[in-house]
Amino acid sequence: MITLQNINKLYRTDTIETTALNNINLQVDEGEFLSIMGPSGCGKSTLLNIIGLLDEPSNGKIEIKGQTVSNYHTKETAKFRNEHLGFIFQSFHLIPELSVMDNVQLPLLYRNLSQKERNQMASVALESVGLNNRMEHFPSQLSGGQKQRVAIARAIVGKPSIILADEPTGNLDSVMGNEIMNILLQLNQENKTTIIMVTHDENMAHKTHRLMRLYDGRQL
Amino acid sequence: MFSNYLKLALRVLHRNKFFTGISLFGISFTLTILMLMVAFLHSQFGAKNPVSKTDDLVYMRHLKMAMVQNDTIWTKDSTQVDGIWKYDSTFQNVNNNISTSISWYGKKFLDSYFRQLNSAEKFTFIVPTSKYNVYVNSVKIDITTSYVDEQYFDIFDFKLLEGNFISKADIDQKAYMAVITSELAKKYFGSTNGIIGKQMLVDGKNFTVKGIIEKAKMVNLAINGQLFVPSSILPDDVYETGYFGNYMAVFLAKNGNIDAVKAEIKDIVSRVPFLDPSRTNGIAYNQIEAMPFTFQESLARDVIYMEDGAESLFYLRWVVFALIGIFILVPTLNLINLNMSRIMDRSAEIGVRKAFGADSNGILIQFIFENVILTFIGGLLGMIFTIFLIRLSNNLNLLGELVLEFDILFFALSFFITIVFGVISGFIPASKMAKVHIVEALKYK
Repeated sequence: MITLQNINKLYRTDTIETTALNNINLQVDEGEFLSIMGPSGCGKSTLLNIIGLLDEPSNGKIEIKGQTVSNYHTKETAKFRNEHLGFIFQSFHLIPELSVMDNVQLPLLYRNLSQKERNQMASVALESVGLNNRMEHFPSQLSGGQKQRVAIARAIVGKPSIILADEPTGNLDSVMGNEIMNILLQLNQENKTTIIMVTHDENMAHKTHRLMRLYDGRQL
Repeated sequence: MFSNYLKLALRVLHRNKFFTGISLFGISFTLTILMLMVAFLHSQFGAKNPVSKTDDLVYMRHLKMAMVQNDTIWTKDSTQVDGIWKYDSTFQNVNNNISTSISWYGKKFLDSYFRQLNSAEKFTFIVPTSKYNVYVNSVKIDITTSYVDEQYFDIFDFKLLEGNFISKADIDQKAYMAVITSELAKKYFGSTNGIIGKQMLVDGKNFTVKGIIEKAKMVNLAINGQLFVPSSILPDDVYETGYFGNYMAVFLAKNGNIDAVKAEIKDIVSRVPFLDPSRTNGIAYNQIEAMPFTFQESLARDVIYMEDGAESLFYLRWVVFALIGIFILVPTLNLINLNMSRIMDRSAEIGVRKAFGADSNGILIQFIFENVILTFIGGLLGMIFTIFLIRLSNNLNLLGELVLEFDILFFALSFFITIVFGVISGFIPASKMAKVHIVEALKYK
């Protein structure tokens, strides 16, 4: 489903060149749940951003669902993300001025859907994370775990085939972290959603199908 | 999509109350000033009763006579060429302006030369503003009186509320008839009802009220009278035997061709014989120049005095343009600044939106839309303040004869200015943020 070939990411300033990723080759199958681990600064989030088309590699090729997305223009990339990818962030990144319902509907705004359709899809997504009784609440009225569940609902509302989660339990306590992990596992098992997760937590990582380790931008 | 943006825009404004308050104050204040300027320009320069034919009118207020003598200036210069001194003389003829007089026109002069203009459909000769004080029930009333002819009310379309205008018969019979404004009627008689046929004592003369009109709501010498009486009642000594006097003339151009009227006036005056110095206090005037102006030029000259009314209008337009520019530019720059810091706070939101499929144009449109909402609210507040200030100005006569008005055009123009203001002040910050890289934007919490 996802193929990365010879992916490199370099950051250049006037005086220094930093290699964030060095010759990464990766294949992720459909329905696979992959964890990426490594020390801080090893390039985990950079790799995740590149897979999620949030950032561009310095060179290399990315194929997702048979399409060579590394050649896409900005608009094509945005459309691809909207249709096929969902994101879960460590800091949740919910929009504070929008209600839970409106936050979840965010990805659907960039599709040609009516208000009724958006409401329906968002309700289904919120129900799947157990928050359909909080639709009119605002993020400031939610706990950390609830916020992350809203973020998951937002990530899955458009029924993407791939979810990218960057330390989804990083800002949560162990109880809530387990809750979130269980939701992700359920998504993966029941819907066969491909999930790629960056994590520091070994326990969480061992619950996934495969673990990839990075060190100084290289695969171990 | 836009209902979502609207909801978000209103909530963002609600969340950042301090920023919103500052922005709305700035926007509404700026737009109030702009709208007042628009109202002023529209009320003063726009076509409406009693000057609905502004584009067809030529005003002739001043006649210029000058005594110019030819003078010779002899310049002697010396220079050395091959060791030999050489001398050079230059003679220069210059016109030396010894004496200049500018004044209004004499009635006889106007009657002699300006009753038969080919390019004018109608004309009127007026003594526009003579001021008298009268006392009614021990209360002093200042009355501005205009002495008019029978064509005056054809050229200036005052709204007749009751009775009739001054007629040719009134002029021929030198009748002591008067047309008064409703405002003067209320001051003098205490009411506008049942006063046709009543007598008014002004300047020791009894006038019979023949008609009541709505007063002019703009500042214009030719129409700011409160009491209009036949010019034929003026004593003969007001009819100057010279060229100067107390009159001005207004011409209604045929087919709107005001240039033809101006040209014909200048041509006529260029052939007018010079007066004998015995009639001009010994001054041998040898140049006569008429000064015909359009309606706008005449008004502009009252603001920025230049001999050439076209120059006055040119400079006035630039002053107005510069003022409007400053009043738009300075707050726009401030709002851009405010918006930049406000949008920076929402970098993470921009990153999330882009992550989930928004492209840069979508982000740009969203933030411009939000800014337009903000300026629209500011514009509404500005409109409310403007209406309040216009009413205050009119009730307290803060601008003298000028009555500020607001109408559909005014609202449409104000609305347009508001939208443009919103788009301009939102565009730069929005376009800057729309280009921020997703990963950079997501680093903000």
